[in-house]
Amino acid sequence: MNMFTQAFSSLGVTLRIMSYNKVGFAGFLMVIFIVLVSFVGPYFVPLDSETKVDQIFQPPSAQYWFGTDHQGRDIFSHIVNGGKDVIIVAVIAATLSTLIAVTFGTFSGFAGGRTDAVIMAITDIMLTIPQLPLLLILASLLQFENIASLGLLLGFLNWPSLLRAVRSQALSLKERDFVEAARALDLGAPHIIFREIVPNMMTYIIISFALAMTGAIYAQVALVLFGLVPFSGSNWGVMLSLAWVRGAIFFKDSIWYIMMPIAAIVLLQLSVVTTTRSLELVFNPRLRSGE
Amino acid sequence: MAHIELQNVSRAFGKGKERVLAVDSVSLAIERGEIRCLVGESGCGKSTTGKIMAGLLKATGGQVLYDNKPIDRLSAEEYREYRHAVQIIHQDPYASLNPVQTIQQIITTPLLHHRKVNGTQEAYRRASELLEIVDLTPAIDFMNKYPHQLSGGQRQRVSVARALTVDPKFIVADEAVSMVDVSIRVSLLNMLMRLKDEFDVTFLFITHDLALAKYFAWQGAISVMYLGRVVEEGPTQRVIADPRHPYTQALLAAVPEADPELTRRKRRIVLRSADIPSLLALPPGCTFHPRCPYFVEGVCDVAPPPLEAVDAGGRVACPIRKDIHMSLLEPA
Amino acid sequence: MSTTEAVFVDRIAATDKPPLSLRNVHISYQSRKGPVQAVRGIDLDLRAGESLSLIGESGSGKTTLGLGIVRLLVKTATLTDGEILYRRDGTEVDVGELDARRLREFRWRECAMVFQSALNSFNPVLRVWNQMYDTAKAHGWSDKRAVRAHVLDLLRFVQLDAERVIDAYPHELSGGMRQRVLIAMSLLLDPQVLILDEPTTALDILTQRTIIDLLRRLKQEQHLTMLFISHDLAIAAELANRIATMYAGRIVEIGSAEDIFYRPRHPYTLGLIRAVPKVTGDFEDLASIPGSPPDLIDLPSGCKFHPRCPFATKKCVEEEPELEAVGVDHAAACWHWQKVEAELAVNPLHQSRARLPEVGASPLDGSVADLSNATTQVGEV
Repeated sequence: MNMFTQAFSSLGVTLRIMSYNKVGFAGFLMVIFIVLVSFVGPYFVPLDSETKVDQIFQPPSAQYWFGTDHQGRDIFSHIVNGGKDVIIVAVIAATLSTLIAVTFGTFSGFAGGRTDAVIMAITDIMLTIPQLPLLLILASLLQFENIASLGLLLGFLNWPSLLRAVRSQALSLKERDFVEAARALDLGAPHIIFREIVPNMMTYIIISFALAMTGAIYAQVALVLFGLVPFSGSNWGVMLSLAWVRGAIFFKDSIWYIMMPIAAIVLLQLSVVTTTRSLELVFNPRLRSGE
Repeated sequence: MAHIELQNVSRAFGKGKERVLAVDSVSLAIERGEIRCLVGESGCGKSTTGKIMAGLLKATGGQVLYDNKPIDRLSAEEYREYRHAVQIIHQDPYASLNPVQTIQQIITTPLLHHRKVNGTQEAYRRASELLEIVDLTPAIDFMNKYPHQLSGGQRQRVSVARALTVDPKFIVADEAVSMVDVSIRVSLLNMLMRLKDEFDVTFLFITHDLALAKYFAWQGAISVMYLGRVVEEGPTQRVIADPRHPYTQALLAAVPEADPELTRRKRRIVLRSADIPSLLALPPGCTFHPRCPYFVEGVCDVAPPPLEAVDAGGRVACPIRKDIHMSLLEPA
Repeated sequence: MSTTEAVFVDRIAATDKPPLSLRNVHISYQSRKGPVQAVRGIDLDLRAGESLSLIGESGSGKTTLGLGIVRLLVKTATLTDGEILYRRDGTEVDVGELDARRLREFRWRECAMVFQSALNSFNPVLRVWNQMYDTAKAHGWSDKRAVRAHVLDLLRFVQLDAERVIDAYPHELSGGMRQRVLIAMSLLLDPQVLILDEPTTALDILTQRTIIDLLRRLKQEQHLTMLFISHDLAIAAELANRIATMYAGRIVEIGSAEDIFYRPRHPYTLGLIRAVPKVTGDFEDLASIPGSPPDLIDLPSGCKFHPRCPFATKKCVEEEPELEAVGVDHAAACWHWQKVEAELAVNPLHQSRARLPEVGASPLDGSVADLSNATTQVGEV
């Protein structure tokens, strides 16, 4: 019970700190909102899969809040139902690539010598391989059982540039006096890496996480546009690709069909990126001037 | 038996053409309970020497002895003991504390890591004690603060408290008061003096400020370094009042004094050149010779002069001037 | 006679009014937590041909004041009150009221500023010559040949190898050489007033000495009017005719160098002098000033120094003292300056065992730190 209340109180403290930055907190709330809509929303707004030929490309109205698509289906329901897959893939991809980059980047920077040389060589090779063609080739070769595997693929491809950046941060932090003091106090390499160096890189890490998410979202959309991801059902990427293919941009009334998924994606990315401003305050006490 | 001794220690940085000797064949012996000041201008190697003594940098030549035993031949247990016994206080109060940890975390971490205490409550208590020892009272006011919420002087005190967590016997203070306000420096130094008396700690005080060196090490000794070598060494009172090496004399004469009449009466020593040689291209023989007013061709630019004993006390690396006393004040 | 010598004019005879006067200057910064009162009512006359040193530690406002005089403050700082009056050849202008064009003329042609010799005072991709010429051109002097001749003269004047330095990049020069270049650059347009901000900080002892000697030469030979801003009392002892100590945005004492060093009347000045060691001479007891500088957003009431002052009384908590005369051309802002005088009679400066009075004499509570710790007991002398 004690742990429970402790967890709650530290959650409360974290939220309070995040609220010091108004813009960031607004972004955070928007992220919560989008996540709720995408994961809980479908229970309230079932996917409209009924073809209504007489309702093709209707503009927004009281009945169809966002209008209808090329098959007369309600776009609003598609938007509500379409976020889940996109978000899951993005989170998995971002988490994986950030984890790889931070672990190996810090280790490489801290250890130096041959370990560093080997890890950097692998990273440089990965960096020189063109990302999109590689992605397309792998996507066409591999079977996607579920969205998680797509997330894993994207995560495995995204880490090189982040690793380089993390490593250079680790290299410079390594020289700082407080790290030398930790060495003098004989606190050991694991402590120094995880309790001294990494916490001082958190701002960079969370921003990289946010950007990795946005990168994963774009990659997904690209894959769907190329028809390499055999997703049934609806997600924002699929909506975009269908809208494109069906020529939605050429009709005045059907512009909603292509704009809504774009708006949803942009809104998600914007809120994730602005949330980082609040998260920065949590991880870097020096930025908190409001206390 | 010396507490820590350096025998012909050198430290090189860089490779090939870029190789420099930051420390060049330095031999220093510091006794237990001694206060030794290492003075010199920037680039003379004093910080590097201090870090070599603390085991944070390895010597590339010569050997380091702790309690008469070479440190590269200590058992793992003894080596650990040596590393704990020698601690360092850094110069920059803004860089020496982890900015994302509270003072409590900073002090309790080594206590818990090395099992100096049983559990977090005792760690808190001991941390409070240490903060009080360094005059951060009441400790509770500081525990939950982050470093950026403290002043420079307070941060240095936290650094000292952190060093005390492992019960050190030898403290290297590397320009520890240089970045602190003038009016606070003395209280920091007095606090360090108290530590020395109460816990019998040996001190190596590295500084470029000769007046502070004189104050802090009045009962101790000074070693003067120039471009990686020790040029003069001796009891503080002797070195300050009766410097023998031309470089030491030039330094003492050059320091401005906070007293208009006194500063007007100081002897002006004019050096032959204002250029400071780069470590990449050291002059042959005595490295000070291009600037030395007593330069003798054929003697000073041939072989580096050894440190030789002087009657007045200590050693001087200048065969020409070591026995000549020079007053630093013009007659009133 | 070189062009430089021809250009320097004997200024003392020309003016009897001070070239620079500050009247009730207030400067504030905007910060998230509220307005920071960095400078709170400075009245100062910089007399022709004199060197005045502003001494203060962090938070004293000295650098803000220096930047404020040439209006180089950041956007968040404003001159909220007061005037900065500049006079030359009988005309007087309020620097605070100058428009952009006149301000540019004022800066550098009338009043130049020498910053610390840090690399970031220079544009790293410009050679010294280019920076000098750019500065000259920006102030309306574009005759390349004349400027180059003048620059060479100035570099020689500051004892640099002019031909070599003029075409060098900043990173190729040592700290001492860069400081000399900055001094030469400040003299480029023959200003009447020179403001120097920590001119010798971060320099080595021997290099520092050469810069001090150069500045002394400037003072003695060219009769430039100079304002030194520093935390280093020793620099003031070397170069200043008059010294003003600043604390929490105000001048707390001002007088000749002899007055300040031998007859201080403000407890802060006294505390500073007692905290600075000398290298020549016997061992001296030193004492810190307890406490720390005040928070400029949330200043204490009355005299801002009272929480750290051994002479503080109830009056000090309630009313902030103004500068009052304590000697000939010597003023201090302290209600109890006579107590400081009496204290010095009992415990003269520059002796061992200097003791500060017992805290118990003051009706203040324990917020004044225990001063018995401030006295050292180091060794027997």
